[in-house]
Amino acid sequence: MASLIEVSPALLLLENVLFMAAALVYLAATIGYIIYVRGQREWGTFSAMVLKIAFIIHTAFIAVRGYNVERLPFVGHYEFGNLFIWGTALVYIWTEWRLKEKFYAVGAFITPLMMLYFSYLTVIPSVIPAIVVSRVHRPLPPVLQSNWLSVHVATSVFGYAGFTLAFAAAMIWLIKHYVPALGVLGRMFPTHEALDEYIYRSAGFGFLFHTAMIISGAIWADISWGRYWGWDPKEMWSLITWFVFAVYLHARFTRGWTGKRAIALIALGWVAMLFTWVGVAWLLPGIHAFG
Amino acid sequence: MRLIDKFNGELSEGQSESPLRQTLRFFSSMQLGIFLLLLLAGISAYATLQEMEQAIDYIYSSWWYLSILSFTSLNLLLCTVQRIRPMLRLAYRPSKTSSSADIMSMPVHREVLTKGHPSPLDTAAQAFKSVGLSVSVEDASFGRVVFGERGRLGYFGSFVTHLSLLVILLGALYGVVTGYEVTNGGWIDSSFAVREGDFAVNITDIRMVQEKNPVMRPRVYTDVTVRRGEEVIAQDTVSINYPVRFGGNTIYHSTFLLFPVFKLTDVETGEAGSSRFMEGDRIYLDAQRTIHIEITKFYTNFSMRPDGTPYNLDYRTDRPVVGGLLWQGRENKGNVLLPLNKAQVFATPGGDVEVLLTGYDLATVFSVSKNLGRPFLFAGSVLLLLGLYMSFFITPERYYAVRGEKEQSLLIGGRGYRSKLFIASTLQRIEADIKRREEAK
Repeated sequence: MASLIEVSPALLLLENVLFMAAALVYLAATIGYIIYVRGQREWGTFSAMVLKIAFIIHTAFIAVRGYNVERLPFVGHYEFGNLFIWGTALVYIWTEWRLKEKFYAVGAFITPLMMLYFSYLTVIPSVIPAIVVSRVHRPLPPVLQSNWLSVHVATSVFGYAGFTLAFAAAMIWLIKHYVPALGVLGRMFPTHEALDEYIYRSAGFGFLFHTAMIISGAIWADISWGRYWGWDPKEMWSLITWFVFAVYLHARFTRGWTGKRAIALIALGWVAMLFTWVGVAWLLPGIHAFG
Repeated sequence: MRLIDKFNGELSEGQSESPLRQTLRFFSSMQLGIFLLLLLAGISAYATLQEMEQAIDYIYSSWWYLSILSFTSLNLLLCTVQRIRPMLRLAYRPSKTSSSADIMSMPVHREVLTKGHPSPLDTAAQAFKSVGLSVSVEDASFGRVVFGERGRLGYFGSFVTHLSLLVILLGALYGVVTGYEVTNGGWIDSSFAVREGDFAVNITDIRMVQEKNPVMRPRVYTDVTVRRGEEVIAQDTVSINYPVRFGGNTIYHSTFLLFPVFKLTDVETGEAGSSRFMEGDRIYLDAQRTIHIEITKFYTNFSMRPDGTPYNLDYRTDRPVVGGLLWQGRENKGNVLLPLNKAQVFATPGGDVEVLLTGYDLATVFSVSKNLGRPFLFAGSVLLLLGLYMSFFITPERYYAVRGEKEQSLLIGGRGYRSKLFIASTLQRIEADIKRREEAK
């Protein structure tokens, strides 16, 4: 069954151009941040500015996509993936604004992760034919026509963004820990202590929104399907991700886990999050298979 | 408070821990909590690799999975109880005095040189206020101390979070114990009884409304009247995302089905009869049941691909056709297509039989349930979000200022519950404010 919404060629072109432009400018920001951590301090502010430009272009893309699909562009891997990258950029830009240049180094790790997410929407489906990330403009099926959709997706975007930020900072922590002679890199990276708090705060932020996502999903499932919890693989993997980050937050707060063990939990949590988003869809499909 | 005392009471010298206290300590320990959460995560991950129904039956509903969940709940309960007294002490009985040595040992502290103002501590108090701290000046044996704090609510974050999880678990348990869930349905003018709820549901009308784009599954509206005895207790329309609720019971739209209606006529005698069928059903054409049509698919808007494969164009009902297989005994005699209002005659040992698709009936399938735990689940969810907000977005901070060891110096330091970054940044702002005020003088 073909399931297209009629989109004018001009708007379709605009949508695709904005998508490509956003991806390219994000890539430019990635390169800029990498140059920054290699010791070129002046590239920090410049890269932050480029990232903001990429974010604005990406916002425009999401707006045009929404106009073209005649609804909030929150459904399917392509739309959710874009929203996730956009949310990650927004949360990172916010932390940069709060903490100023002290944490520019995180930019050199968060932007490559965003490029990895972009690759899932572009390159990976062309390499692995089993993965299909459809860009088709589809209307919403009745089951998804609910205000809870926006709450559920928005909270999941910010939850995932917080976890991604925590993982990016955790990678810096690991490099600092395992590479003793970092030279110039060492000077650009925040201290272990500062990174640890950054990781904790990002994970806490992600955890709050991830919890809100699970709760809003449960309320919506109760309204749509007549039950809060259906033991669906997507629900279960969201819960597994929640368990892992709950363990990290408890261990960090009450037992003072700040070292390698804490980083291992963050990495495990990020992998669980990624599996919830991508892995479940292709390996364990259930009733969440909308996209 | 006795249980709390069991945890927190000090042991006198030489006194050994009682077995009860040891048990309580074990079940309330964080190590156990972490182990149980990781265990639940691991088992759940394994369970998702199984068929969903199997995982529900053999893992999620198993005694051992429920036992782990129960132990986790017990751990949560004891952790929550254990935390009450230290939390109250921490929040409401802060040490408001700190000597210069204490401040020097704080994770973030600074020494600010003042310009010999007669009361630099007053300047510090004003600076504390300017960053939004609630300020008091305390007299200690070593001199006056300016104390400022904010974010006291943050101390209660983890307590509220743990409590909310208990409320959610309690709500879920109460819902399971007192509630029920059944699946039932029917077509227009049919009824079904829900014995668990002591009422009957009568379907008065079913309407299918196509989406703007008919390739999307249509929305089905079902008018229902709910009766208890002769009394009508609810009357409303059910559709996807819009259930009907009454007295703690809820009727949800689960799905809809289309049942083709066939008229079978004995060509010789003219004897005829009509029946509804569904996909997978068999239409027996003779009394001996030697010949039958197995209904494989009901195409509401039939079309055919160039290779001869039938398919549904979309969800419209413009061209209804039933696809099936004709069987004689165990022998498949080939495919049959039965379009609307086009009779087909089949030869059977008992004579010719005319099969005519006369139309179709729309039926709705409902999930009917009662969940009295819903208010607890809702309250617990709100509490959970509030608790997490208090934990991660309200940072308890305490600051102290005393006269420094050096002439004309002021020693300021801060201590946070979970944050050093924010303490350092606030202390920087306090220092800047003190300098600005000194310069202004």
